[in-house]
Amino acid sequence: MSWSKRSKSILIVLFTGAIVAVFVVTKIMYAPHEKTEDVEAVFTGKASDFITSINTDTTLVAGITVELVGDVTNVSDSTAVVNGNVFCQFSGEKITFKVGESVTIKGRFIGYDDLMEEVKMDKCILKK
Amino acid sequence: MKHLLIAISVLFTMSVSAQKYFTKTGKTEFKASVEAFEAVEATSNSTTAVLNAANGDIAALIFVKSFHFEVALMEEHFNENYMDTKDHPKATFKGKLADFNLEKLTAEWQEFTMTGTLNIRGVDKVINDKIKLKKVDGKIIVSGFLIVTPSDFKIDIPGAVSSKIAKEIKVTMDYELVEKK
Repeated sequence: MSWSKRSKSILIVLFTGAIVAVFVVTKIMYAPHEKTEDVEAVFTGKASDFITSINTDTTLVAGITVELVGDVTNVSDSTAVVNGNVFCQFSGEKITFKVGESVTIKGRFIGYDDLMEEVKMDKCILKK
Repeated sequence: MKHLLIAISVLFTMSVSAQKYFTKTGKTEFKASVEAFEAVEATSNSTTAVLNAANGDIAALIFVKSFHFEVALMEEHFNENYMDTKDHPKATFKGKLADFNLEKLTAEWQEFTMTGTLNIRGVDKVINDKIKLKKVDGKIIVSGFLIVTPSDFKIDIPGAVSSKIAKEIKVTMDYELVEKK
């Protein structure tokens, strides 16, 4: 049985289409996690202002990325506390700043921890 | 004599208030995988846990958003379709360790019965499970394991994916509590 030129063309188009479809679906399904540096901050400002705003501003929900300025009050290997009540978990980079320094930290706001009475952030990076 | 009694009571109050141990970076992991299907598991390294060493009261809080999945899309579905993270951002536990005595805690694992209430998606479930503790270098190490089901917390699993998600979800907890000063 010999294939006509037309049948061959249709087969090639279908086959290519199927490969593209699989590629696109895989790309969507296995898209990487967003990096903090690539996400636009919903709130930028003083850490103290952010804490007062989360009680009144309904757009400041868990999961948003924020950029906060404040003084470092505690530091460990991969965590830092700003203004005594903003707890930041860093992923990856080693913390180089010290207690007392003024810093700008960008990270994901995950919620208000009422056991510790502080704001909790993860995926943090140091802006300056 | 009066002054001595006051001094003793002040010291006693100070020692009681200093007997809290806590972590803000506890590891909580769950596995809901079914063999032959893609792994459904996630880890949170942001669990807050507080143990009152004076009476064995224990409290924990996890922000659901802090659970990290390998696959970003799975994480999105977990938060939006199953856990309703927008309305219920926290999972909490409040309970007690029976017969807890800090003085008797050693570097060897000791088992305690933990009873309390686990709240996920605003739904309470009474927990009565075993948990292991030990004390190493002044820290209290907590290791726990429990099984929950999606239906315990009114989590609907659609038919199309029900075969890919385990009926019983295994939750493990590894916390390193330091003394609160």
